Amino acid sequence: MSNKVGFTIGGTYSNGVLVKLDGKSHEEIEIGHSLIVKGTQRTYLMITNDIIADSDETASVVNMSRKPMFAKEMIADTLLSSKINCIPIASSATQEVEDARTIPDYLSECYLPTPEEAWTFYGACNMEDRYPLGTIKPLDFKVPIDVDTLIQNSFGIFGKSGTGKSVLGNLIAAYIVLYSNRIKNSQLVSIPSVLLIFDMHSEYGLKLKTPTQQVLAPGVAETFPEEFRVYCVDPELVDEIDKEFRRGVLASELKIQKKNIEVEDVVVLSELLNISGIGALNLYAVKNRLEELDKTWFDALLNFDNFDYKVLKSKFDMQVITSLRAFSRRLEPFKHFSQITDENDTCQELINDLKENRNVVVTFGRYGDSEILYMFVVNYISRRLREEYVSKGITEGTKNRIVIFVEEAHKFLNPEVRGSSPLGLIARELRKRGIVLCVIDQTPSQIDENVLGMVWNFFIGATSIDRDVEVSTRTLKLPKLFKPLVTSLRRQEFLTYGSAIRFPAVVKVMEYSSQMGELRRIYESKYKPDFKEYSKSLTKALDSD
Amino acid sequence: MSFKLHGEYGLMEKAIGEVMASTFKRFEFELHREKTVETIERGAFTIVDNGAYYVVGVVTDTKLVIAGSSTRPSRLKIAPTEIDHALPDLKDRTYNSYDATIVGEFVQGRYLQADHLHHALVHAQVYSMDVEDIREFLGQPCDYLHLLYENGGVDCVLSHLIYLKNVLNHSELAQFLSGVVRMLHIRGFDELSLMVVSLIE
Ligand SMILES: Nc1ncnc2c1ncn2[C@@H]1O[C@H](COP(=O)(O)OP(=O)(O)O)[C@@H](O)[C@H]1O
Ligand SMILES: [Mg+2]
Repeated sequence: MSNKVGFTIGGTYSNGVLVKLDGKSHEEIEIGHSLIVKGTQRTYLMITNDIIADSDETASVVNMSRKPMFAKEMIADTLLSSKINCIPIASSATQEVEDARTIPDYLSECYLPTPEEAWTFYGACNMEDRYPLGTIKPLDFKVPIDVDTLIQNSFGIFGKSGTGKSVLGNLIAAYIVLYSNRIKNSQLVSIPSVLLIFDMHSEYGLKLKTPTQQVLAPGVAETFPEEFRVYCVDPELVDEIDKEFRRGVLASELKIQKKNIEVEDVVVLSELLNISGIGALNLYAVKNRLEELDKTWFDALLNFDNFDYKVLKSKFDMQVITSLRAFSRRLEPFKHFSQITDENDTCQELINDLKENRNVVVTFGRYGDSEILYMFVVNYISRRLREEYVSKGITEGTKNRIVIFVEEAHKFLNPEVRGSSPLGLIARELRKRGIVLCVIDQTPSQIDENVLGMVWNFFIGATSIDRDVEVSTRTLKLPKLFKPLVTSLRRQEFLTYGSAIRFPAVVKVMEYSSQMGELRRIYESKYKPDFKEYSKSLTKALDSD
Repeated sequence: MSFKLHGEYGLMEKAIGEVMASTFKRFEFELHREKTVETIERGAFTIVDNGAYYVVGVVTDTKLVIAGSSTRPSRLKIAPTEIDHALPDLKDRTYNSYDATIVGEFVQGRYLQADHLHHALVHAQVYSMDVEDIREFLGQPCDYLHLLYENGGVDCVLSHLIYLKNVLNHSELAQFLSGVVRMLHIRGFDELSLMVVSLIE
């Protein structure tokens, strides 16, 4: 394929640069391709966002000709003209590279970037703090992501189901693990980061699966078992994980003690439980009286139907009784949820793990399908974590940063639960204390604006819902120009922009298995040279697909 | 690039006719009388030996000229080939005169197309252009079809292309045509190119 694409014939900064193709069919260029334009004073980096073949009248005449295909060939590039529209992304003059603030001169030559040119704009990977996110189209150049910058603030991975969010989440988690090891191993002043991953679909603690439920590859915790503790919401996973990891006790059950459950842990579920429909029940007000009925107020609420009516009547109004009964019925899923116990609570242990720099995955197993239990557990742990940090003075508790990965993030971060959702509070209050979120979601438009405002880096997979495209491209310089890109992304492709990447890019995310294999090798050779044994079985697992 | 002419344009016995009138746009020539009536095709390349330079023309039109009192031929009801034999007197008084569009010239080893500086000199000899010379002439920017169009219309352009099909192979013709389309585009003759590429077989 020749490098030359065409030449600029005009355009506007706000709508993009028009390039007339020369000696190339427009079928060879795709939306999302990166191109270079050599202007008179600067070199520009651009991304194609539209393909234009507008010689329709000529084409219809030629179609009637005696030898249409021959005629077409004769007038290609002259009477049948093809153009592309490009977003001006960046410009470089001598050594300095910056956001594009103008567009190239008329008749500037446009061509496919060489790796050196892509390097000038995006920089190079070093596998220490700049890791390869993916390759830009159509060449094989790896765009680096600056992990240190990434974890200074919250970031978001968006896109509809099946676009590769969880795969990318695992990859980024692995980069953070490696980067933290680098910090620990060196005398760098930065503080290491630790991960808290709410693993709804068991893809981080266990294995990534294809949409047809075949195993794709081990998740981040299985790839770096010595770095992680896995808390299983589903006890059946404990054995499964220990068997898979083949290395000691990494997995344990997550237990929540009833006496630690606060009214707010349940109230925050009210939208989901449709509790607002249940009269004007004020759980806070009746909590004390519930406590008189059973071991804990939560027990009393769960078992509410079982109490003698007379006893209830002595404590509550009729109306309240009806409401509490209805409420109790809605808590049905909790009645069969064995991880809520009388004695044990592993939440403090989990928090201590985080404080001691052990990454944590909370894997849900079959409970990932229960929206209510997923939300309950995430909220509960987040609340406890937040309390831990808020109760500490500002100087304490910042020995490390925490990056919290949460899938289906809008459930916790929508405007309705704004005041009550611990994750939302963490996102807004605790960034300065080093806690940030990795927000993974299909419908970013349902996330509270204030939380989205804290998101500094965006990884946007294909989305076709206008509102979602709109909110996820909003902080770009020319948002409307990027919309067609977002809707046309393939699986594994993301539009990425933010503080951790020099310029917006459309990347095909690194092939997961081989990249994780590579990271594991780096990990062993640089940070943990004594795990040859484990590595053999892992390499096999990573290469098995 | 400098060229040498391949055809023997100085040899009087190879001349097909003689220039009788010329402007910068066109010239008129009369066929030399040979033993048989020669016909020159519409669209054919001719070249005029002007001495220091050569004018290239494409045959655009023709007419019959009658010398003497009668200004038009009368019905004879005999075959044209018999005329020479049966009416030698008449034969002497009728000529074929051709109209050629000047499309370029050859000066000092270089071809000019359309932007030629000279016209054909009266009484200069006209020759059929050699195939190799035509090829070399066409290697230029292909910028002269608009002249044929203005002088002879679309059909004249098409005749010329049919003539070229016998000279060029398929890919040469295709390359030539793309060049033509490009130059016609610059000159604002898009409709003509569209007609030409659509009508060519
Ligand atoms: N970087 C990648 N490497 C290999 N396969 C990928 C990659 N990204 C996506 N895929 C493929 O796409 C599928 C869906 O990815 P997944 O992360 O589960 O999507 P999502 O979480 O957005 O629903 C994966 O099972 C895998 O087959
Ligand atoms: Mg997923």
